[in-house]
Amino acid sequence: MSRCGKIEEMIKSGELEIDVANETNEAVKNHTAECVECRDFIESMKKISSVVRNSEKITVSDSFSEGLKIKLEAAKKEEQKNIQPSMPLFTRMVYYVSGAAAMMIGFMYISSLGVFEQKTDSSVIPSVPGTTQLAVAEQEDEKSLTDSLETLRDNVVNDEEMRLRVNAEER
Amino acid sequence: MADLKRMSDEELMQSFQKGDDSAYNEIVERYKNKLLNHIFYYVKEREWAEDIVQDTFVRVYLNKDKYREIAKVSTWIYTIAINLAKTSLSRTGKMNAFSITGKDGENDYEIKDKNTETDKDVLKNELSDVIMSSIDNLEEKFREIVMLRDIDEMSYEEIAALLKIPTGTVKSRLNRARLNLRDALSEYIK
Repeated sequence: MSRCGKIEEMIKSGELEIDVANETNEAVKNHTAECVECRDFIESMKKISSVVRNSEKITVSDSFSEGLKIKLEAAKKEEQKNIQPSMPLFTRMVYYVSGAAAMMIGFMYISSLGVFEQKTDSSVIPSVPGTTQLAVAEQEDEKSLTDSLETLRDNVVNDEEMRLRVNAEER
Repeated sequence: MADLKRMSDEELMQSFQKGDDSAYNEIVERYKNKLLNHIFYYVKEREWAEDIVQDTFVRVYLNKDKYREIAKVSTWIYTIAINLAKTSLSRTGKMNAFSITGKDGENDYEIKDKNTETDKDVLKNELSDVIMSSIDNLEEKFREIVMLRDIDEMSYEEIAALLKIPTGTVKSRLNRARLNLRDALSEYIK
């Protein structure tokens, strides 16, 4: 660090642009004309920039362009693939929307028949064609099931009585 | 072709957007080595850096229509490259792995026959290594600015736009970075 430090402070604060310090700032120019430390400081700072700028740089390999070409072709193909399905998707969307609309119309038609209206009077239910027969059939099935169970129970009781009677006779 | 050389980056981009692939090739020519050197400082491996630079140009090609002239072409390309480098580093868990010893790419410089190296060559190589290490040792905010200004030779305004900071901050950070480098490189600048 220079003993004066005036220029260094200006540089730290960003007040001064080191590359053009002497050229653009009259006060700096006057100061460095007299202050050796600050003049040396500016020179050393400029050298830093020059040393870094002139440091060895690396360059791309010979295969860079070929590699880039291959990557570009692959990326273009991939992009093409992503674009192509967009047409069938659109068509499919049209089908989906048409289907949904048809279902909606059907639902509205059935609703207009009053199928989904809630009725408290059960006697009204048979007004829908086929409902009466279905209800009667269900009742008959239930009765038939009850009768079967009763017959089965009677048979079990009779078997038990028969077994007790046979045992008693054997004794 | 001669016309392309005289065109600004923005004019080239316009031409490329209109379908002129030779303008794209000229952009690649202008930026491939600059980007390689910049990205190399991030990833420290030449092949990896080259891979990222290629990916950058692929993105530029595919997204040419997204570029608007409100930004400079250099800012746009560097933003893509830096983002790709950071993503690539974070995927491998090396995001914060900037270290003085992390000179994996040191051997990736052009291989030279030691027997044919002159003293000047040896000194130059040594200096390059010292410069690289010194820049590597800077805080990230300072390192980035030194690279953009002194290695990529960007203007203060371009750096400010790229890093989204005021121009004054760019200048003060650059000066601070150079003060640090001055200490590290003192014996080479006498």
